[in-house]
Amino acid sequence: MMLLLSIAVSALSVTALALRDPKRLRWRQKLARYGATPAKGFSPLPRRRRRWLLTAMLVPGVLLALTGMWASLMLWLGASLTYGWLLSEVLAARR
Amino acid sequence: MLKLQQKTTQTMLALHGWGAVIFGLLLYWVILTGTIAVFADDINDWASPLPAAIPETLPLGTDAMLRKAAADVAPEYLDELTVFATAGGRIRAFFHTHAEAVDGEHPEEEGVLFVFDPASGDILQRFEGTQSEIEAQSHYGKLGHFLVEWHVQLHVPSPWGLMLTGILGMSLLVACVSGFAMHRHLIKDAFLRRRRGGDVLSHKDAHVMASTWNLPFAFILAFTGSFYSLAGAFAIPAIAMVAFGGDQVKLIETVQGLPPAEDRRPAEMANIDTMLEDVRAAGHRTRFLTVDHWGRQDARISVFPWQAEGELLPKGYAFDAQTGENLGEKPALGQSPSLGSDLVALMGPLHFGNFAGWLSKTVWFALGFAGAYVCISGLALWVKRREQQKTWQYLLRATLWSAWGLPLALVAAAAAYLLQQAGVLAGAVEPLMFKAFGLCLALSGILAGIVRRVTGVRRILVISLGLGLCALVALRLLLGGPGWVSAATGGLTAVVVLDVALLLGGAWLLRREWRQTQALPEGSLIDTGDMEVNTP
Amino acid sequence: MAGTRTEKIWRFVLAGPLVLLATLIIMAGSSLWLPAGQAQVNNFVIPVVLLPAIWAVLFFYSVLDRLGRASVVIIILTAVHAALIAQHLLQAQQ
Repeated sequence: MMLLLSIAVSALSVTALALRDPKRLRWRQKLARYGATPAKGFSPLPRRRRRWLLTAMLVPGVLLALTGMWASLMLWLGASLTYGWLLSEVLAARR
Repeated sequence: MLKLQQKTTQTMLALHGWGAVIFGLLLYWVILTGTIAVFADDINDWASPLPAAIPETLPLGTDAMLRKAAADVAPEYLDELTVFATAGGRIRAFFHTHAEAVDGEHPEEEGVLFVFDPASGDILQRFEGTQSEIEAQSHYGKLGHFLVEWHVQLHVPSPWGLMLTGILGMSLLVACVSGFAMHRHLIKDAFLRRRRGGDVLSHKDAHVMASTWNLPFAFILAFTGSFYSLAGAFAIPAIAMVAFGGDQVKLIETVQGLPPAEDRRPAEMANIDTMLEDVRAAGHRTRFLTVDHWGRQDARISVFPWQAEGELLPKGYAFDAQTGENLGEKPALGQSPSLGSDLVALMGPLHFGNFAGWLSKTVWFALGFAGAYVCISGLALWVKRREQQKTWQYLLRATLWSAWGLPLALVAAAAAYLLQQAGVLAGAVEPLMFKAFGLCLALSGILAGIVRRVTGVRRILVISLGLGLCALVALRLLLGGPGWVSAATGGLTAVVVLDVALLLGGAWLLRREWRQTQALPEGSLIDTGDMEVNTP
Repeated sequence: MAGTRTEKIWRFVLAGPLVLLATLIIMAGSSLWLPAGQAQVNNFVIPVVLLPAIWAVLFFYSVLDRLGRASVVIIILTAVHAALIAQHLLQAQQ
């Protein structure tokens, strides 16, 4: 349960970070100039908010480590990293 | 983000690039086969299932099977016994002794291997001889073993194969460190994946983004993998030489503990089923067990289970062979807990990702897959940056050959396994798998060399692999393997899940290739000064 | 990694075969000075587990530092451990 919750928190943070990532959005705006669908409704996150989300992404891992739940820590790390990579690929594939 | 001197960055870049050119392809082989080998046990269950699933490894009745087998072997083979599960949950019990080779060195195990059907308790197979003679005849579990051997030592004899994979592991370590050091915007670029008609920038983003997310695990897997290869190849012999003056017996005694005083008097063995139940009661699933000196006063029994839920480190339990009393946990190394023992125990779960069943194996598979992707995308990037130099096109062809030809050859090996199992192909299974693998790899290599356009090479190999994955499922069904309904009702999870995974994988590749053909040719890019995009 | 041809060759030899040899000797030698711990295994198990780390540190050091200093440091480290091993083996023989 702790594990699922940890993965969920980190995955949500990663999703928010990815959707409103400044560099990614800048690229999409460029693409939009040449006819691709612009990323509607998403503006780049301010720096502070990005820091907060980054912290939220890492906190579950720190908690798992502090409570000595090593197996869950490794699963959380692996699952979150895989999710981050796949999400970035999926977002890039959207036209 | 690291701030390095320009000279240091250049050195890192050179190490990263040239290391990849020299070791990249072999590294990809090792990573890809390792990734698939995460599911080696499940692949064995898929290829050779019993009619119904065996709910637990070494179930009730194991004791009776072992007693029956023990009564049927020469007394010297009762010296040591290892009991594992193999394909479909069958039980593999190897009664053996360590016979001295003629040259007095390299003792090889010699004994009798039994394969049991745990549902009926029947002996399915019985092989006698040295370990290599037995392995040459046995069949169950060979598909997974074939994969694992590629990963562990590229099928090169020990210790050379281990040294080779050790060097590959170290080159991966170098790639991780140099990649991390020279990439200046690791976090800022984590979501940046620009696609514009397969140019250098697209290749760079594909490689950098995947490696950024994969970096922690690539490092862990490189470290633990090099440890396994190097420890086996030369670290343990060197340590034995120095710390124990070459006295291997003393080394073993320190690690495993002094053997009890020899007592050859016969003694009745306690019930092993009870011991297994005892371990299960502590929340474990049983995995394997070992018995020393079966039927003697100085007998010793150890049971090694999978990690209980939430545990990372594997455990082992010692039992009194006569009373069946649980003597408690035994450390991986030495007679009392130690940092060294814990570190060694940690290497396994970190490398194999097998500590939480399907869940951890799926995660490790995904991470391994990302690692394989990083290898290929890195090599593709290297060639893309040197597009004008014709020589590097050969590396691109070799990369495509490896990327798609290797999995295709593994599919061919799996087909050979299924055909031999069904009696269509005659002969020992391992040479047959090698022939199918080699033939397929050679054919795809020739294709990669002669097809005029590089895109054509990729297209042919990807379509072949997509079709091959689907055909493997069809072949399994045609050769009399359980259908999906009977597999589902029999609880054969591995059969259903792997069939679906193979079909989905095949379909995804075919769809991907279909979409590539539908996409506009690269000539229709519009140049926009600072960027290019595919016209919609 | 600029320098004369000789320097380049020496850098290559140092970072390649010599670092590998140094790793092996340092690993084996450190089993003689590391504390064995209660279970009597730490001294020889920890160097084996840390083998990839020992190699990686020596390797990066050998390519990144000034050639002369890197050579001297690696050779001294190796020599000290080789001497330890030699002394231990000679003692064992007596």
